[in-house]
Amino acid sequence: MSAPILTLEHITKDYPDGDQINHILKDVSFTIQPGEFSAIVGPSGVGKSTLLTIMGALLQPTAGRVTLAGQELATLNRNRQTQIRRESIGFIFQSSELIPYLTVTQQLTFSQKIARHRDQSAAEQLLTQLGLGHRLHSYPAMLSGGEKQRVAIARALINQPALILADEPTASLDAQRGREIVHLIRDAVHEQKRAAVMVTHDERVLDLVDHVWRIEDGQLRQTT
Amino acid sequence: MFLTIQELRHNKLKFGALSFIIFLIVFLVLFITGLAAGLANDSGAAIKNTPATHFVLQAGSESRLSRSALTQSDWQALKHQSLTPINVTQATIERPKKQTKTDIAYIAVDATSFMTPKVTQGQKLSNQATQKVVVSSKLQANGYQLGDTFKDSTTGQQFKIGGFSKQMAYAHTPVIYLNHHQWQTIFPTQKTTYNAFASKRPLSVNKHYQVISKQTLIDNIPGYSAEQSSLYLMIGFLYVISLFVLAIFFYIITLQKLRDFGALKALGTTTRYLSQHIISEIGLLTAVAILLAGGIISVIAQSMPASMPFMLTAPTIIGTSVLFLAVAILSALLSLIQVIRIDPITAIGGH
Repeated sequence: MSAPILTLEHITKDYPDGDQINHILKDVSFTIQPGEFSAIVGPSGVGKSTLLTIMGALLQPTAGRVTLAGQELATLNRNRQTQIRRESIGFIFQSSELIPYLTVTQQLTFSQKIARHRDQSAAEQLLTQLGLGHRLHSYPAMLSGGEKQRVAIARALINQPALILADEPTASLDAQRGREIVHLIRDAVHEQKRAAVMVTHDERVLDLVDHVWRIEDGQLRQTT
Repeated sequence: MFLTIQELRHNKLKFGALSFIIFLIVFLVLFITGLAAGLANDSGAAIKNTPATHFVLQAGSESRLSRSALTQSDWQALKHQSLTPINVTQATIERPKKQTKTDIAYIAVDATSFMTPKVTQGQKLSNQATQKVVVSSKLQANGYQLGDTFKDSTTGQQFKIGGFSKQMAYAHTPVIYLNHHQWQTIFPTQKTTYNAFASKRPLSVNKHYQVISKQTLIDNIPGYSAEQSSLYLMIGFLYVISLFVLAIFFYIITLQKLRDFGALKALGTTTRYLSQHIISEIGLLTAVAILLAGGIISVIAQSMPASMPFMLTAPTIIGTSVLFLAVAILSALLSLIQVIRIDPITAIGGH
């Protein structure tokens, strides 16, 4: 077994809720290797997205240690965390969150630009691979839901991140399109030896992932 | 800059409208500024464009030339201080055979002193008891030409235009320069009096007199302060209004884009990059609006009739533009605070 890309050790996260404290995550540990595709499932409001934002260096846990690509996130300042997000993590959001005034190609070249290695032909090649060759110069408003999510996947992959974090990527799609999207993520993980964590409550796509984790009552456990 | 240009290109109508609003405000600011400068010039040019820096008036005249009366003995008491006496009054002239009257201001000076008008056409003013006087070229707009004669409406005293000075005006009327002999032909008093003594430097005098600066004298020309303060009040309000209007517009536009900014931050865009994006966006919009307004106002200023008191110089246009750009960028601060405070988590469902 190679070194894990992401390790979470004894993570807890508390939110103040009125005069009480809401324990969203209680002693959560998690690990993922290159070439692995894991899904985190569970009912709404149990902390799936919170867990994902902690993995993505967007949120500090109340306690516990997060190690990403060999670096402990808590020891890094905000700028370094932003840099880690830019270079090591590819995000896929629930509602794609494409920038409305950038064309499909520009969505990718902008991500390249902020990571300082612009390569338009790589962007176009990736989009063509994902079946968007005819949409390179379209704006997001002209795309279907499935096309938008494919652009979002391409944007997450373009900087060749070690870790892909997907937050309910199938939520706004029908069953068939949802499966297609999860397939694409799986292919990228397996062919390019990346790791991906997908938060979902869509049980129909779980046959496509390598491991399924369930989160319930603040506890995370691996079921397959 | 990449985001800025893409966004401006994609939302041409929205940003075009915003730029048009800025254009209208800048245009109005420039127009009122030009009018204020033009009126100021029309009101006080004849005093402002002299080498004098200070004026001695009678005590109690409240800085008004018309209320000050200095006698020959005052002159004897003070003339060693290298002063020169002047008289100023407003009157009406007319052509000998026509009934058309023109309001003017007589300024009587010693033709050999530093207060003598600079002549751009014709002969200089002399201290001889002739009919030849120097008049403001503003009178050309009323049809007066070199060598024309006119008469003082009250006394009927005739004068001849010997020379033209520049566009000199006092209290919105063209100036006619007389020497003190000519002055006496229309104001034949027993005792010679003067309105003021002009000086090229500050001086101290006893309590029978009042020394005021040139600007104080101009401020007290009838109507000058009222005009200028109301116009500058308008200009000041325009700056404040545009600050708020632009701030609110930009704030709303930024609020609409908070999710985009959250996603951009989650993807690893730095706050600094996004701040530059906001600043360059409003900077570009304002620059385009200013260029357009400056260009159009320059064309209008050129084609304005001479009778319209409008004066806009390049330094005024540039100064206004810089000030306005600063106001516009200041107005972006509110949006900037929003952008800095956006948590990238908003892109993931929002917590």
